[in-house]
Amino acid sequence: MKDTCFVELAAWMVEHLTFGPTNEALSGDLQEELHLGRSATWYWRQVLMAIAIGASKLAQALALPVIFAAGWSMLYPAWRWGARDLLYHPPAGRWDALPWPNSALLEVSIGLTPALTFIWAGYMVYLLCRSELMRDVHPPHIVHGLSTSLTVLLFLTVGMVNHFRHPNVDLSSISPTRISTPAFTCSMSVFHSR
Amino acid sequence: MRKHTYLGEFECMILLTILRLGEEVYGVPLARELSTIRGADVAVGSVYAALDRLELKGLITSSLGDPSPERGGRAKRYFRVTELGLRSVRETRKTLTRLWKSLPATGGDIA
Repeated sequence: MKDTCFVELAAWMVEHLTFGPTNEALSGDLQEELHLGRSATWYWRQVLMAIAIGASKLAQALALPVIFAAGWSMLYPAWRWGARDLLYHPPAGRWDALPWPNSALLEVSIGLTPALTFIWAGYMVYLLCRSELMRDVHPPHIVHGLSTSLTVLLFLTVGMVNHFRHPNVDLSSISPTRISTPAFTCSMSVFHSR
Repeated sequence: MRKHTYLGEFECMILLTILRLGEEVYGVPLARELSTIRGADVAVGSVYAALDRLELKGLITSSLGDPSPERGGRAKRYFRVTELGLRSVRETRKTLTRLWKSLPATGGDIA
């Protein structure tokens, strides 16, 4: 019973922590070796090494995109400044006049548009810089990448709002037009729409 | 013209071992054979990491077999060298042989 438990635990670890397309086969191979007489110590060493190798592979694969994303994010203030006339000035009083939820949706979309276009532009620049990736890009990958970035953006924005929240500050009284960060504006919109 | 894919030492060893073992090669015999050839234990995880890389480069292909009870109901993944993989091995061999032959005589038997 104990043996079965530890084998199942190790198999689960290999299948969920090695991030490879062949992790099920790897897990099966290790179990077969164990079945053929390898020791439990050997088995666990192989499992831990497989996880370490998987983590190192993942870190290598993510290093360049993460560095690029960090560098690209530095350009966001410049982007916002460049696009200020195009993106940030809806007709005065227009959205307040609209009924809910249209007013909130409009506010959210105006808050998100600059950030989303910035992410799109960054994604395209990255793909152009790494032309060898272009042949592997499929629409589902693009949708997955962009939806992940949108989720991260929203979580970061909500996190930022929570971080800066002060008991004496009424967030709903802050006008979105006075907050300079578009993502922050978006989160203000969420607060306003409640 | 397709860019030549250079092989690392371990990748080359894996390709040659798959060729040597023939059809129906999967992780266990591959890792055992590599351990025998190298004279040291080989981490199965590192074999799979190299196999993933080779498959991504199109030098090998893989197919799933049937699950078996001694593998906890998990299927074997069989590997096979592609035409591109064969060409790559031959190119690597030619390049290494040329380099080897071009070594200056050192008085000893470096080869």
